[in-house]
Amino acid sequence: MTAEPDLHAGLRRVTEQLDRAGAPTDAAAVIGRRPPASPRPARAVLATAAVLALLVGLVALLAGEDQDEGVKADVPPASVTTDGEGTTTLPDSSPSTETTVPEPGPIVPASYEGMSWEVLPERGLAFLAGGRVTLTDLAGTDLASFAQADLPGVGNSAADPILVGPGPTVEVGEPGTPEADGCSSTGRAGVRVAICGEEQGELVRLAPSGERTPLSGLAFGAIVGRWRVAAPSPDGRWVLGTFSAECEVPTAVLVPADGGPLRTADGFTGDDALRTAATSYSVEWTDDGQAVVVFEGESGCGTADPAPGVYRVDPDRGARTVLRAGTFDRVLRWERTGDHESELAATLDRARDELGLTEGTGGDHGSPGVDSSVMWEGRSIPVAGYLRELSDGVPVGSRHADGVAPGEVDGLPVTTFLLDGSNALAFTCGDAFWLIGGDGTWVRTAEALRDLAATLIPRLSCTVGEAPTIGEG
Amino acid sequence: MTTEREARFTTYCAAVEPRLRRALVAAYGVDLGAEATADALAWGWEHFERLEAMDNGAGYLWRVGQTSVRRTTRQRRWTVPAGDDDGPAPDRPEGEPALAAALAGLSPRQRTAVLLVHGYGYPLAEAAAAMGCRIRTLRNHLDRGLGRLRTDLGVTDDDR
Repeated sequence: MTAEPDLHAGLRRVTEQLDRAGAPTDAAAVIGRRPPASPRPARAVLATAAVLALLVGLVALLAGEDQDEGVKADVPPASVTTDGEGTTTLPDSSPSTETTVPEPGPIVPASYEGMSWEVLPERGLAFLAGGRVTLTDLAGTDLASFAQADLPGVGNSAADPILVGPGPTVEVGEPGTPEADGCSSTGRAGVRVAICGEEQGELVRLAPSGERTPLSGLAFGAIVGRWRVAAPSPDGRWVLGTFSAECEVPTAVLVPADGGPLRTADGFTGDDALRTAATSYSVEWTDDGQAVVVFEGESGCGTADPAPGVYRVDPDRGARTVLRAGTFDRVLRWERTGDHESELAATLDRARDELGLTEGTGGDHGSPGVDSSVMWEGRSIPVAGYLRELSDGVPVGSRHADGVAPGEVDGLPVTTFLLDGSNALAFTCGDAFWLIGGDGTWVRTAEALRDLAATLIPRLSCTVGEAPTIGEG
Repeated sequence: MTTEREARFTTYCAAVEPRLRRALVAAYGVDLGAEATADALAWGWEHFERLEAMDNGAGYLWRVGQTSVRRTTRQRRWTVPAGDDDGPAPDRPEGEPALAAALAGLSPRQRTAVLLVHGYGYPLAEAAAAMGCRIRTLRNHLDRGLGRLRTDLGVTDDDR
């Protein structure tokens, strides 16, 4: 038997031996050395955060002052719960003057003292108040605080993502991937929703085929307005969004992902919900499916919440639990990025996580986009992603592709073939080609590759295009 | 005459070479790893401007090194070379030959993760950067690699 300390001591000794055996390579030795054939072009790490386009100026007077009060949704009344003590706090309706919601600005901290980068969670909340930016996890626990005044901007545009480095990057801002047709989409748990329309007045659900299913036009019968942001819940049943109506008064809205009546985060439905609901905006989903929503204490032409603060809202029951009471200049989500070699690697990793699948151990196609694998039915299946801008088809290099044929997975076009004798399947999705299988480890059942593709595709949050060609890189 | 580009590359090389070499040697063994390191750095010299602009150039060079290894048809059996002396060192754990064999049984990425983190003592972030992956992925490789080593070597839990 070996004890754990002996194992670690042994590992250290092995590395000492490896160091002794392998002489360092210095620059002089490689300058002039013939390099290996050029690998596929580098995929620069792309900053993935997108901050939605800033406010369209619009003011429309609140029409119909004698409209009825909003109708409470068919859910239990919203309740404020602080430290387990329940208090009902339905907001009063008090429309008044114009409200302006502060927009996020670009921030780069000058120092990182107090920030433990290695244990930084994937996502969290950023509180902007009193000239400081405080990063917390999704439970509201402080992780780091920076003086906003000390933080120089990135570029000069408020639309730039907020960056914190070094090492992992923290990007603060609203999610959203620009689509070719001017929509901005967000995907999670196999559900992809998009804000579309010239005035961002449509909320739709996108199928992997690109087919759109309207979830809502202007919310609650508003005459003017736009969707600022919308994001599916971790279980894919809900969409949490922010709708800006008259006076750019924001309202956090919960929308069933399969369609159905909208509800404000504080539980109102019906055409007059916007007049009755508190001014609020959505921030993020917690991992256990609670919507993080900010309820404002002051509102120009909206309705102030009597107990302002940041709350976790249960989308099913409507109950809300305070995360942090008070008012803030702005509360945003942040996301840790930069851990992946590429955006495709991040996409695949997220898809695997959502599906509860683990990374496999084999299968290297040599793609600089993502070159990984998935454990599927007890076997490691290689999965590679290639940026379409780098090649006309799926690059297979000098390997032999045979039996290339069009196929379908859930009605979506794919290409099936044998790669060096092994079953392989490829499809086009968004700006990438994806290649599954084909490294000799899975030669018997093409059906398993189709099953894996059918499972993965909705989680890749992209639109499947024409079946790709297979060829040289 | 050393050009300004050469000087910059020399500085860059000095910074990334140790971690790159250790990662590639851990993955593919001393000989293939050293060659892959040289190949990767040669590619780096050829494309230095592009490399300099990358957020994680070292991680990309790791990929270049992997590509180089894949092109070779030589035997890939991973071994730990014999030490300077043939006899057992006084402080060498008795189970070390078994450890070398167990390491050889890991996948290249598992072995690289285990050796970078628990052998060389690199922080997780540095090891992940060297392997061009995220920390969570690195942890997966670490967990699986260490788990397999413990199983193969019959490591007891008592002293963890």
